[in-house]
Amino acid sequence: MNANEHRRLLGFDPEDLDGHTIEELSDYLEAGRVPPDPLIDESASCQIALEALERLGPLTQQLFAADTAAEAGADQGWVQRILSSISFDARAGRRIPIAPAEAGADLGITEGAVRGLIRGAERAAPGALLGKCTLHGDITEPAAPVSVSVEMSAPYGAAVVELGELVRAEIGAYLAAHTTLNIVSVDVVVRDIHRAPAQTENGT
Amino acid sequence: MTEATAPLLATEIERSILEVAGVTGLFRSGSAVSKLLEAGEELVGGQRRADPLVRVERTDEGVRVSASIGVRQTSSSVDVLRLAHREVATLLASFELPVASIELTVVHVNGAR
Repeated sequence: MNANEHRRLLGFDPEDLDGHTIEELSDYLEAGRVPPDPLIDESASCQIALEALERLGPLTQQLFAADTAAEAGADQGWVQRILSSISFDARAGRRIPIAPAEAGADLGITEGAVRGLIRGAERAAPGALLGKCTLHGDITEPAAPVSVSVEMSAPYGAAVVELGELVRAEIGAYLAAHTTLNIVSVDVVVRDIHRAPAQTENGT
Repeated sequence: MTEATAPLLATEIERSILEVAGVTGLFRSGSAVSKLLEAGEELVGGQRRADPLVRVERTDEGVRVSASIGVRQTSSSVDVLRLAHREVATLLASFELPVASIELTVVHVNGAR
């Protein structure tokens, strides 16, 4: 499989990551981000993707190995769905206005930054992995009702409802701190159960 | 403001934004293609130019400023943006420059702990 096919499989397109590939970002991460590459360091999309890969990275190999050992031929598509969603999250997307305190100020946050923020809520639920995240509603219109839906994969044996509640609460707190969106609901949909060692507090 | 002073002003604006508590850094603005072209030009010779990432334009209505900002997750993007806007507006006022617009956008919330 060549680099382009690999990129397509993971749902990445160079345009999503300011011209960089997921392989380049993975290599950069593995190298400890040295030597510093300003083209990556100054790209918000790359930083969002790197952060998500960093959280997922240590788990990926364990998850593939655990799935393979436990159930030959098992559907491992959820890992790829999560990887694909990282690419989607990293796109800047729409600009969400933030209500200014002073007249004349033009303040906002990108949809990509918000999705990246939402994905970070998985830290609140050890072992859980968040996948596709969608903001429903006209987020470019101040005060318009907006609902959030996010897909989650829970570790086998975990209390799924409690994990979902932890993630929901974390997402709600993040959105309240970082946006002025009129959030009417946050829905967490458990799409998968995976076999994996529980994550530690720092996400490894 | 002359063409020559615009980069200096941009550098000052960049510094004022970076001093706001909760700001983690500044990022390139624009489309992926324009960012790549810009970065490619900068890398000719192997080094990035020291040009600021904040964009400053002179228009008939006044100065237009735009910046893409990174914010710490434990801060509030709402508060950080409002503070940064105040800092930039104050800086422009100190130079007695009319303001056409100050557009500040959070493009990354840094979740590293």
